[in-house]
Order: sequence, then C-alpha cells, then structure tokens
Amino acid sequence: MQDVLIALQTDLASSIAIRYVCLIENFVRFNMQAVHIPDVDENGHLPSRGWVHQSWENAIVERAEKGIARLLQKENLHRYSMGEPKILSGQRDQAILEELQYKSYDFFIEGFLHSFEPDRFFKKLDSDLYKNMPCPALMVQNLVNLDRGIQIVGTPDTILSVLPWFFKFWHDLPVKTDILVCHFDTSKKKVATLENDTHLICSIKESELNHGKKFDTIRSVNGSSTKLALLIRDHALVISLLPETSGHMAHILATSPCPILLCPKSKTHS
Amino acid sequence: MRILFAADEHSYSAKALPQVARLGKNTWADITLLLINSKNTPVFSDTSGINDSKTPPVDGMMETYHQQLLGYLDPKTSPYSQVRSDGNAKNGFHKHIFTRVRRGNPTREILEEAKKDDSDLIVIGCSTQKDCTWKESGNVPLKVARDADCSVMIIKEEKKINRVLCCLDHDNISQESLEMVSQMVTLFHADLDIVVLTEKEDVQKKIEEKLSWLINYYSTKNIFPYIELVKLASLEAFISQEARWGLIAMWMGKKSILERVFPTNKLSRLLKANESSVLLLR
Repeated sequence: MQDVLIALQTDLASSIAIRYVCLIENFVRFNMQAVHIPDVDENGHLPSRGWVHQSWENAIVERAEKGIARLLQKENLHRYSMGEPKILSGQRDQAILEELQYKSYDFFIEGFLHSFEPDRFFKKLDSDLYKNMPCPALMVQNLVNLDRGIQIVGTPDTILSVLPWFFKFWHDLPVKTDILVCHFDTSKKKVATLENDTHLICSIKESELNHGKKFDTIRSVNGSSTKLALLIRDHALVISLLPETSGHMAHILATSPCPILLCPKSKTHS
Repeated sequence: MRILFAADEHSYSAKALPQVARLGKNTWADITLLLINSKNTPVFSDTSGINDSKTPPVDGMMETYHQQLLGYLDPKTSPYSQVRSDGNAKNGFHKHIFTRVRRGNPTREILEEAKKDDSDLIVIGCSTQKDCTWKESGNVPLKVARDADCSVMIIKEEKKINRVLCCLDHDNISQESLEMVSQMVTLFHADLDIVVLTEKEDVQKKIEEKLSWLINYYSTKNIFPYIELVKLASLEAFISQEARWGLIAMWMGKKSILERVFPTNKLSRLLKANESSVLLLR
C-alpha cells in the first residue's frame, strides 16, 4: 500500500480532491494522511476574543481542527484516512515539504482549481513545494469519471522517465491508458502523427512487456503546443514529469483541466 | 414546461426542429410552433381548426413543421402521440403541440406569444452564414435573446452539441435553469464545463459553496462537470478559443455580472462570432 499525504483546506478544491481520491480508492489502496496548515490571515471572526481566554495559537489550531473535521465528515474521507488529520503551523509550502520528507510519503495530493489563465499553474510550478517535490504530486483540478482513461504525456526525452511512476502507482487502475509523445513544432498548424518514431515506440513497448501492462494506444505526434494541448483535455488522469515553467510541456499542461500527476525527474522508483 | 419554437420559412428554422423534438421528448413540455409570416399574408391558424383565412404557403409550411416535428419522435413513446381511434389517450398522458401563425414585427410577435403562452423556453434557429440573423428580418434572434423574460435557446445550423459550457458568476441560480442545463447535457449526451467568472484570483466563498452543491447535484445524475476559473477580462478570449463547445449557456438574470460584461453589443458579438448555439438562462 502506498503512503499518501493529502493537503486539505476548507475549500472547494480540497473537496474535489477528496471526492476524486474516493473514486480512485476503489481500485488503488492508500494509507492516507491528511494535513492542514491553517491560514492565519484568513478573513473572518478572530478566534479567542471572547471572555473565555485562550492563547491565540491554540484557538487557531482548534478552529482549524473543527473545520477540517467538518470537511472530512462531509466528504466521508474519515473512512479512508489513517488517524487524525495533522494540523501544522508555519508557511504552507515549507510545512508540507518537511512533512513529505519526514515520513517519505509515496505521493502527495492536493486540490487545485483549474484556471484558463496559465499564470496560476506556472506560479504553482514555481513554488518552493513543487520545485523541491520529493515525490509525485497529484494535482486534482476536477472530479472526472475514471472511464475517460489515463493519458501519459511526455517528450521524446522525458516519456521513458514517466513510465516507471505509472507502473509503480497506477498499474492496477482498470482504465484505458494511452501514451502521447509530443514533438513540439510551433510552425505546424495541424497535429500530425509521426510514423517513423519507431525506436522510441519500441522502447515503450519493451517497458510495457516488462511490466505486463498493455497500453491502449501509443502515439508520437508533432504540432504546436496550442494544438497538442487539445489532446490532453479529456482524461481521468494526465501523467507527466514535472515540467520547467518556461517549456512547451508546462504550457500544454496548464491548459488541461484534468487531474494531473506531476512526477519528479530523478528518484528511484523501487 | 412550455416551449415556444419561433420559426420563419427558411432552412435554419427547419434545422432547429430536431432539437425542439428532443427537448420536448425529454422534458414532456407542451410545444407551441410559432410561424412568423414575414410576407404579411393575412393568415392565422391553430390546431383547433380556427382559420381566419387559408393561404396554402403559410398553412402548408406550418403543417410541414408540425409533421416534421412528429416525425422526429417515436410514436410509441412520444408524449404527443395522437389520441387513439378508440378515444383513449395513451397511458393517460397527452402533451400538446399548438400551432400559431403571427404577422408583423417578428421580435414583438415572438415576445408577445411567449408572454401569452407563459413559455419557459423560446427556441429559435438562425443562420451561421448571416451572422446569426433571420433572412429578411435581421437580428431577430439577438433581440429576442435580449428582451425575453424567459430562457432563450438560439440554435445555429448544423452544429453538433458535444460540450455544453455554462457560465456561472454568482450563487443565485434558479432551480429551473439548473434543470435546463442538466436536460441539455443529457439530451445531447454532452460533457459539461462550468466556468466560474472571477474578478480576482480567488473564488468567493458563496460561489464555492454553490459549486460544491452543483457538483453533488450533477454527479447524482452521473454528470461530472469540469470546473474552470476565468477572469472576467479573459471571458471573450476564452469563449472564442477553438470551436470547442456546441452550446454555451449563460445565466443572464438581473444579478448577473454577465449583464455587465455582455451588454447588447457584446452579446451580439458572441452570437455572431461563435459557431456554438447559445442558451440564455433566466
């Protein structure tokens, strides 16, 4: 079983993340730990201002505990979660990073509402958390029916590095799995399938043989990032390496409203 | 539910009929077929047989629309099936198709009929080649969309509806409009995208709560909508990108910021520039 850390806030994004995890939990079993970092700048009534005096910090933690407990109760996550949610204080990214490193989780999950403007996504990739992510991060942007299948996406340079992550975590998910190898070419107005990418496709097939998993389609395509982005819009999960913010891959991932699993570049997959 | 189908004599009106049939079949609505007689022939007819005058072209066209509409429905399951020869209504249910002919200013006549009929939805076809207008009568669809008290669906010619885009900008949405969106998604076996319009980076708490409720509401109907945040300033760019949506649904009530973002000229641009059909919810 995989050890998973899920970061929760009392918001819609977290609510969607929980519901998505519950869909996946039917096929892939997790040891799940919820973590919450209270937002001390949150608007609203200040805690511990009544006649019952508490320390401000205790009141914040108490309020956070109640909020997260309500969320978990509402979304039924308490059925899956191991133990009580951890309430950590401090700067969010740093606190999560420390927790991820301390317990060596297998992957991290958070809800993140998809935005048409790519800046939010880029900002996320540029955050300390994602820059130093020690394990794959599942960014749940929407609740999607699993029938839509998995799309593993990469460039000729990265695609073979994504596969081990897929085999490690998602192998058992009984859904259609496709591979898309993107050759970015800004001059192309249409997406074209490359028939001569045989060496790479052979390597992918070798990998699938080794793991006893058959991919439904393996496609190598070229086109502009705008056109290629349309190919990764309708899936239950898109899996990619964590891209550079400035690259084409980041641009196509930023336009996808699907849940995205972003895998670190270097790490043993044992 | 009452649907008013407003038509003229051109092919784009005939091409919208299958969608009216599907809507009627799914919602069990009473349907009024309203033919606007733009040539000002003095004709008024209805199925009760009251005819002020009989001018074959207009009556013939109405009869054609009526028969075409019935032709799109399976007689075994249609709520509009004719009463059996033994006089018993099928399964105790019998919904009506009324036919009306009006002459005069098309927009005024359509709006008057909708008011008189207490319509919940006006369906109107338009040409994609002529900037979503009616031949000879100009921008009737836009004027109806702007001035109607009820929801209006403008169907573009030959546009397959695979995705429905629903723009949400506040938490005050009527149950009827939600049902309408749900009907459209089910009807066309389409995917649903809900766009949340934001003025800043964050979504208001009240809208988040509504969205959470919407996701629950639609997932019980096995519909999993995509939620997407779009800044108000980018809305036109968002809608104009690719011809991704077959139908764009917008809530245009008084409290909607869409009223502000899409004043008449912008609504007109949206209708003209886009290949998608448009559903304005009220």
